[in-house]
Amino acid sequence: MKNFLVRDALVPALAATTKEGAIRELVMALQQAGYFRPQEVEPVVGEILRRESLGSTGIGRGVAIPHSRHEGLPRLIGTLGLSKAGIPFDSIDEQNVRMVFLLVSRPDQPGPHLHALETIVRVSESDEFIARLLACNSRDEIWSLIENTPDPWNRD
Amino acid sequence: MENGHPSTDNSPLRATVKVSNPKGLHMRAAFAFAKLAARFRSTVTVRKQDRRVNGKSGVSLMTLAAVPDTELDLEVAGEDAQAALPILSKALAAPSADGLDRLIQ
Repeated sequence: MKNFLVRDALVPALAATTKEGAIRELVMALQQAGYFRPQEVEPVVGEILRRESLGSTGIGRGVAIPHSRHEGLPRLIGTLGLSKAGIPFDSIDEQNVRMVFLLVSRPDQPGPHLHALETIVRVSESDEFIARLLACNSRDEIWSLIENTPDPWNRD
Repeated sequence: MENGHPSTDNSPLRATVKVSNPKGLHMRAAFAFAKLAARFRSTVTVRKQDRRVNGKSGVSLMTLAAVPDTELDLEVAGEDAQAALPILSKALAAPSADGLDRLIQ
């Protein structure tokens, strides 16, 4: 995950209480980390919300993976926001979301996006990983956990 | 012994399908396939090399990370496998996640 999550854009405590708010907060965090120009924030948010309107990316276990594609990125980028309170996300298991992994990929590179989805799904299958992630209170704690969590295909 | 009747045993039917969606088997495509697969009584398994997952689970299908042109083995077992296999093969090979529902009349 350290290959696509942007450390400086991690949000240990999302202020937002809605799906749209959380998505905007995370896109702004990527912008502030230097990955988007300020005028790109709303188009990216709009594209991610359009994708959500086709079907929620809340995959259960408190995890959502909102995503979109965007021209001009150097590579797939992503960030992660935690919400202690939980955010309504229309998830498949109808549970609120406490871990929002937001991905923005290059349109011409489906592979890294698919591998990122695989990685997030597979690490989220671990009760231990979920518990440790939800216990994080700072960007450094989240990053330390990410650095110490091998990508799942390395464990096969 | 069951003269003229379809086979009632559960031996699986198989097909190899190449992913032709230019975005690969992405999240929405995986969920659309799983939703379609869930409309059959048969068990549906999708395999990429040595990794096998339940084809009725969109989340599990995402763990295949099937990029464009990946060859997937589809395995269907159960009473409606004969009907399911061609429809699910077509769905797995579909170039878009849209309209998979229409494969079942």
